[in-house]
Amino acid sequence: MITKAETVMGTVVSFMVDTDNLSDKLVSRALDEACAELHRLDDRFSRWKADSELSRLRDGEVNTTSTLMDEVFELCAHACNISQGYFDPWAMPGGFDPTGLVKGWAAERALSVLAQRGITAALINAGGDVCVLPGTTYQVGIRHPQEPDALCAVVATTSAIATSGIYERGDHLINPFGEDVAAVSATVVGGRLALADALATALAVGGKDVLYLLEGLVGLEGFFINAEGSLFKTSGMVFAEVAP
Amino acid sequence: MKGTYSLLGATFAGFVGVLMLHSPSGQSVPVSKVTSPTPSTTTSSSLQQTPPGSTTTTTVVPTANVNGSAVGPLENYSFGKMAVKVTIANNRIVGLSIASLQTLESYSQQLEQYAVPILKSEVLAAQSTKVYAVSGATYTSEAYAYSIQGALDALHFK
Repeated sequence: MITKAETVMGTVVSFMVDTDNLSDKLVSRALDEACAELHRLDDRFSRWKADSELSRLRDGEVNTTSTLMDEVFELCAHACNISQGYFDPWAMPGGFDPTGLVKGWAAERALSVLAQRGITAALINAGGDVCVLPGTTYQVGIRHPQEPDALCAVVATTSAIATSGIYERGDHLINPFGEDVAAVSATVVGGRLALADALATALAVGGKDVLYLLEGLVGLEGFFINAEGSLFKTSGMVFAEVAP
Repeated sequence: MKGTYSLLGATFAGFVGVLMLHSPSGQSVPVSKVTSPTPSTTTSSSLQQTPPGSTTTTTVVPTANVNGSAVGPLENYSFGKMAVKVTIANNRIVGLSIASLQTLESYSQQLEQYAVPILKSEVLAAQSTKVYAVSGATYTSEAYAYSIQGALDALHFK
């Protein structure tokens, strides 16, 4: 097993690669390439870099968009649609802001770089949003929203898991409908990380309304925790059995 | 699919409600903000599917230069209630989205509430639950060192 932690996108991205019978050299080169991909995407999609394509788009400095930006547009439109507007990058103050989806999407792309280099078992944790190569089950802990050094659940995942919350980074989530944010922490499991990331934000904002939508989305489960410390989950959400 | 049709029906009813806010009574539109074009949702397809005979849209959109957005009344649809928001810039509809959605009371009522467990590392170690990664709200680079993921990574680096 080879691990790596890279500071990028305003957070730290952790890699864990099962070396199998691959050479350490091949794996570390693949990890370098995956990190380069993350930095490349950060340069293009960072809201905090004035010369990123996203910043220039938000400032109205560009009229045409790159293929990558178009891909992000499409994913955002899809996420907005299936979340019934609870994830709405077009409703954010200051203009189009896909930040809630880009980190997961970038991690997915980094993971595919690893796969292209012949790696068959790997996990990437992009600052709390996790994706893994299919074929291996990984136990992923969910941070307890009120106890920084404890978990509130353990979930076995074979694809992606994303958590959105208001206890780190001073992030204040925005409800596109102008109402209060329903949860202090929300997690979505399954499918691809770009959408799980966006839907976790939607679930944190919309609470029960979005949990209800998740019930109807095949392959996706989720749960959220409100400020009173109650947990609500979709009917198919399964936790690893850990007695507290 | 029956559910879809009633959803579209409710959408359309909501949309007409919105348009009525713009009826040429000389009243100004309650302008909240002008948003960028919202991605098309199922609601926009209901517009395209409006029968050609219907002239509702052409008759009620005022000729004055209208910018702004307005939310229609809550309408029933098969899974609860919803309201539609329409955004108009220079008399053109540039955004149509769902402004509010209330799921069925029955769903809220059937939801079980669970107390949130507190699982400390000793608990997990005692039960040999191997955790490979920790999912949580995005931490800053600085906070990472103090995060559980940071601790996990430090262990693996050894």
